[in-house]
Amino acid sequence: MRVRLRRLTRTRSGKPVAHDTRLEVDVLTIGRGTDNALQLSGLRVPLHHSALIERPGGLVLEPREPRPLVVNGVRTAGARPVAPGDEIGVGSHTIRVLPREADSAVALELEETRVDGTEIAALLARTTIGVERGWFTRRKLAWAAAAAVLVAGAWPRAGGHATSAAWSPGPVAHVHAFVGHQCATCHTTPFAPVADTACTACHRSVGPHVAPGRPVPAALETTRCASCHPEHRGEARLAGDGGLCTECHADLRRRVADTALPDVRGFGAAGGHPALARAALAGAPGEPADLRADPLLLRHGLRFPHALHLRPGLRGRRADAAPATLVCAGCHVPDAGGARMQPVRFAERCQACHDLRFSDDAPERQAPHPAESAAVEADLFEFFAARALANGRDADAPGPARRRPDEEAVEAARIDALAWARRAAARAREDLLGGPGAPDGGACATCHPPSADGGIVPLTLPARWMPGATFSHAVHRTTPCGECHRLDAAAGATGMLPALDACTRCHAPGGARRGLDDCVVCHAMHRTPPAS
Amino acid sequence: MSGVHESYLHYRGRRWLGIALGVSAAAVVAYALTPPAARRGSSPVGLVLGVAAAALMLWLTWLGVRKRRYGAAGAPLRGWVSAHVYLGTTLVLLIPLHAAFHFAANVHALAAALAGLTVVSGAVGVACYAALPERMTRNRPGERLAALFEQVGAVDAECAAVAAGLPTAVAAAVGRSITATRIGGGPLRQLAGADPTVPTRRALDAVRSAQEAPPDRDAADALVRLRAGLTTKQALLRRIAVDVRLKALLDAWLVVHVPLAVASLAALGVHVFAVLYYR
Repeated sequence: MRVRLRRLTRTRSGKPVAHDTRLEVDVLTIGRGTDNALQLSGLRVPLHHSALIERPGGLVLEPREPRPLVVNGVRTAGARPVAPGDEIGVGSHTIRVLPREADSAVALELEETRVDGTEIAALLARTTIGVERGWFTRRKLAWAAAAAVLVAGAWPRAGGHATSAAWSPGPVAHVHAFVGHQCATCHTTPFAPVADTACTACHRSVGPHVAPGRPVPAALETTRCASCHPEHRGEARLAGDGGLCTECHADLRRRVADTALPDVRGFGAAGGHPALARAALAGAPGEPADLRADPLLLRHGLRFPHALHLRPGLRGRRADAAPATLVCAGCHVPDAGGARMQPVRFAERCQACHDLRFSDDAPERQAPHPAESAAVEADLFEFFAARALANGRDADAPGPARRRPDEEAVEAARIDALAWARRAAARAREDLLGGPGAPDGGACATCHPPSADGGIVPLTLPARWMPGATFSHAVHRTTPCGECHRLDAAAGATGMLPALDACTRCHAPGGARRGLDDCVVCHAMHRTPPAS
Repeated sequence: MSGVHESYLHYRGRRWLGIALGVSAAAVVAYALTPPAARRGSSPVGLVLGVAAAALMLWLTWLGVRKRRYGAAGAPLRGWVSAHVYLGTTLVLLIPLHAAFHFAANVHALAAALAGLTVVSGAVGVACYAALPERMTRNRPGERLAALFEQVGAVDAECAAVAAGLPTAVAAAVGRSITATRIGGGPLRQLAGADPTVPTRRALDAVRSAQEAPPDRDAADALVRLRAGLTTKQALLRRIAVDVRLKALLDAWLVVHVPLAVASLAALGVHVFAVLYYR
């Protein structure tokens, strides 16, 4: 018998799809076993279910196992005929008998009843797949984690305690170590940068950068202390210039049109740094700043030829002084800090050779030094008055009357003696300071040029020779004095004060010592305000 | 790896691996050339490293946006992922160099730690994507997961029908194997690979003990068929469980990676605020 078998399957949407196969068999055996002509799967399909046999009277369905057959939903025992339109149920399968084909082949349609889906639906209902569930989702965890970090990050300040190290990006400099983790000492306002007032609360004497009355460049007005003095960097310097200075000073005139300061482009580059502003102009207001033009002598009012004093076997003005060879350290002694030299005092350093005697009768008596001209006069008058009153006048002095030593001077004699003393004092003063009788000056004029008013030119030696910079002799103590203080220049305009090349000989880039491009090594950013 | 498929790790002859190594070498050289006393985050080299690391972190996070822009112009997503993986790994070097290896219990180290954990979780992801897809294919060759569920449903339906005529003990056990089978569950159960076959195994036990003294021939035949069905179901459930676990592993690292990355950005914000503004 020929059989055309049409297998119906359904797509997901339920649309039927047919696959036709043709069989040529004697008997169409049906069952789960592999020896069946029509093998059907499923646990409910018996191994050998039935056989479809072509008989002269038509198709007959014969059971192969002693169980009832299900045709058209009705259970029937034993063999039974089937006709087109009948439906045979085998397990989950349904076999429909169709009208015969044109070539009289038996036509069957086979469809497996889909599992109705309740089991699958129930299984899927009990199934939970996918890890992103509940709080375990990217979005929720991301928000929560970010919020937690922000809250934890804000806690040190928002908590109000402000004693936590949780924000500190590093240890503070040791000078601020006493602050410890008391953040609020400097960070006075939460979530705001440190205000300058937090610094000036302790650093009261720090002056401004710009002299009082001078215009403050806009760039400086918005600069906070912390801009240049970054903290929390451990022992790293609190302030280096890092090129900050030359940001403005390389072309200062662009910011401050009327500035008198020369431009600075750095220390190493040739021409980058102007000539050193040596020898302060203190005491010489209004004079030009260029010291190379004028002899220093005229400025500070002192004649002191270093070259002369450093000659070997020098003999002083004093007849009884032994010849001596002076060295720098004989007069210039470092102060307690070692950075600067103590002032040279006449009494300590000069008087041994340059005496100030004014009367041969009393060679040990010295005129006072230093002193105002009036004070010198008073001192001299006092001396001669005492001599006169003690009746010890000079032999050539005219006297009104002689008297016995034990005799008290009468009024007239006293007036006469004082008049003599006044004359003697004036003569001695002229010997010292110079005057009509001694136009070249006396002993004082050796060092002090006489002034027009009969005194001496006031001395204006500056307290610091380079007021715009700091220089430490202590740091340079291994360098011989003459390396920087050139004797050959002593007679010239600059005295013995070093010029820029004294520094650049060693400190130029590639020189023997470190470069000085960091301006704050020598220069201070802040002016020291006048002591109140 | 030429031909049909090119892994993101081999994108364009490992171009991004070369770039990442170059970046790392440059960072190390710049760090080594800094005098030891000047090595810190605020030094010029430290600032460059820090800005580079921060910019890198922002760019790495941008992958989350880029991967959602289908058909976007420029390099293919595979190239992005390749660069993401290789450049992201350099953070492990860039951040300690930026910090000059100074770490303490503060918000700054928190940012570094979160970024480091993000990289580690990303490395776990790379490892997962290298190993798991092959195992998934072996476990479920060419089949959809839904097909496995359909087969389980079909077996369930058949078992229910076959067990209907059997003694109560067996019928009840088979019924429980249908109603009590749970697949998956919470994230932890999925990741642990919780066994969904327990009710089915109990039903098999019941069938086996019933087979020792079957009431009649029909029942014996039904028990044989039930046993076959339940065994099939057990095998199907095992494969489903393996598939669920592998898929969970493939997804779970990202659920850790993404929040860590976002938290790193938040901590980076706190770090930048505290270091650059709050001083």
